[in-house]
Amino acid sequence: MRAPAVVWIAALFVTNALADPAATPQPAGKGAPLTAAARLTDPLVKRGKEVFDARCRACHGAFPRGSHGNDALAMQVPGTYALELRYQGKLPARLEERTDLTPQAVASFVRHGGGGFMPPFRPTEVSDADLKALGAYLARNHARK
Amino acid sequence: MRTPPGVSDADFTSALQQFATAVGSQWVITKDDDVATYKDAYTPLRGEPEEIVVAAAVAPESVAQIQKILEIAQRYSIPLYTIATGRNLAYGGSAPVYSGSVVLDLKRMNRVLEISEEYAYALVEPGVSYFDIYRHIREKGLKLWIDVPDPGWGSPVGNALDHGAGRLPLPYRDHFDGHCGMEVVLANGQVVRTGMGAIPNSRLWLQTKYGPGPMLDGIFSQSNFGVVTKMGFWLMPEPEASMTGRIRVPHHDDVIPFVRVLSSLMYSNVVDCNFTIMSPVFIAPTDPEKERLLLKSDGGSAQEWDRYAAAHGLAHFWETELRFYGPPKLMAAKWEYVKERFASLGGASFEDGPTINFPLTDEQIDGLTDVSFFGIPSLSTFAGLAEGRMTGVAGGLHTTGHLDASPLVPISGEALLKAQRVFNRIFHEAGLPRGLGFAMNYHWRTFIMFQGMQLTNDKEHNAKVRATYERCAQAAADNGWGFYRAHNAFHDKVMSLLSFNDHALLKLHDTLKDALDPHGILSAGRYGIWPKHLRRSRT
Repeated sequence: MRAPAVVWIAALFVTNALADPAATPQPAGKGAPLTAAARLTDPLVKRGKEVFDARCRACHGAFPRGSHGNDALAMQVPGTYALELRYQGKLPARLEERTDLTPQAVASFVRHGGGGFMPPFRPTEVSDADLKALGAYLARNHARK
Repeated sequence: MRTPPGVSDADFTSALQQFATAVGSQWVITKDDDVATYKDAYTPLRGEPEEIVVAAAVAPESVAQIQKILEIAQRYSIPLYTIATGRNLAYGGSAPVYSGSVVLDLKRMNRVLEISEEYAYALVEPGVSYFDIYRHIREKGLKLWIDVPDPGWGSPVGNALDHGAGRLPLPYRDHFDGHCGMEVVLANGQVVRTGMGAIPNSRLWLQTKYGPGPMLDGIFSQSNFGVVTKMGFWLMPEPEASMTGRIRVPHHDDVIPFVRVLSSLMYSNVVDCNFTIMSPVFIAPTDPEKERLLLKSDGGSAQEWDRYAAAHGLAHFWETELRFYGPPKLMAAKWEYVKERFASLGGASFEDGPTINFPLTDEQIDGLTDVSFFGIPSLSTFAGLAEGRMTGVAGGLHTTGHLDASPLVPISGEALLKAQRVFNRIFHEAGLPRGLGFAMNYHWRTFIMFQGMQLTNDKEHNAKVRATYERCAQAAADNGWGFYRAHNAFHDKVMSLLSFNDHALLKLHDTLKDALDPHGILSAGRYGIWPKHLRRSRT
């Protein structure tokens, strides 16, 4: 679990000052895609992963390895970081690891925003067809429960 | 679905049908849920009657389709509002200024048209994001960097047109200044290329900004007088290495010679990086003594502040980190020279930072927390809002976004201190948490002193934010400073402050508007430029 400990203004505007260029290099790191290729044989799910990579991963990707106890590194994926603060371990912070997501819930978050700093995504960014694929990808674990 | 103001339902229906013929019905967005995605996600007017709404959106994928849309809009007097990637959050997002406009969404124009490693430039369409260009560069293995603003999902075209900036040395960091080459569709449908781009088969379009005749690119910033469909950007060749050096000075008033030396080095191009002057004393959590000093009419004397810092065990009052790029020998020589210059101040201390060699491996990139200094886009800036509740106040409200008052002040220690006093008082009187103790050279010869404010669902709080924003704008102008950019909701306010010679500049804007967009279909109200039929008298 991670305690909220950042001063938001500093984080928004002076990240250079908070930065630690000597941080431990990470082998997988932010944005590393899942490797469970076996689950991606369904073309719709496969397309959904492409949409996630293009539109979601920069915010909702995996924590870089070594980010435990290193907020500046964890903040590189702000969506995952925010969800970890919100869920405090009760749910996975990383959307791709969730088993409770439904396509409907995914569609609602994408079109209406996350209720906090996540804005909605327009049909020109995620088309209705891609939204369906994204829902299939993020709900794939739910469907297999 | 709503109809734009001043347009009949029948005309709007006809226009939408013709838009659909032009771009395909899928790309005329009229379903309420979809139209709502164009609202400003970070609006300071949430839930207010004045909250900006959108009538519909139309999303072309080519210049030819834009020409058709403009023709239809002129026929039916449809107010359009142009967006690129629509991610101008904190400055209006994808929402128009004139409520009820139809958004001309250029996100589908997302082609990276050309990247030249030899000439170090890129030509892109408006819907291309910084992430897109970065991916393109990586996939092709090019030794080039593009300067990125804090949020990487923005459009180089849109960001440059809105005068955005990033982190790399100049000219790359100032995105409008770093552009070269522009194609614009005028309201009458005519396609214009500026500068040397006007030469058929030009080989110079993306390499020189000047041709014979006036340089017109500037009038197309802010999207009032045309629809920009292509822009060239100069890219920075990947350097051999980068290193940092930190400089600290011990006393309050050291900031004055500190900035004087630093700006001299900057004007001489010895220092060309983005740097932030920070004060560990001001940034540290507040206490009653600090509040007392801050609220004194003089903002606290230098002696009082030095005593305060000493009592709190703070050895340095001001500091900055400089970043150098290039061959290691050259960087080392520059850093040594910088140290020589600052040594004359007395009490200055220095810390050599690490040197990073390029290219970076994926592993190295994943371990970095300051990727924007290496031309790598990210969204990490939003992590500052991750807590979801207002910080800096007890029992903070649920946050829904942020707003940045963006005043520029002269690059001097005196101006920094004065601006801090001025804005601190405004925030204190409003009861809002404020940012103290930092100033950044975002653009070249100025400091930007961002005054960030968090937005919530609470109307009373948001009203306070709006009033504070306007007070900051007024206070800036009263001191001869100005905002470099503003949220949509305050365009009229910030432009009203440009009042030299009875608003002569704004009158010139009006003249251009009437000449280039006589039907007033393009981005009405953006930065206070209204078409004649919507123009209000200025006082």
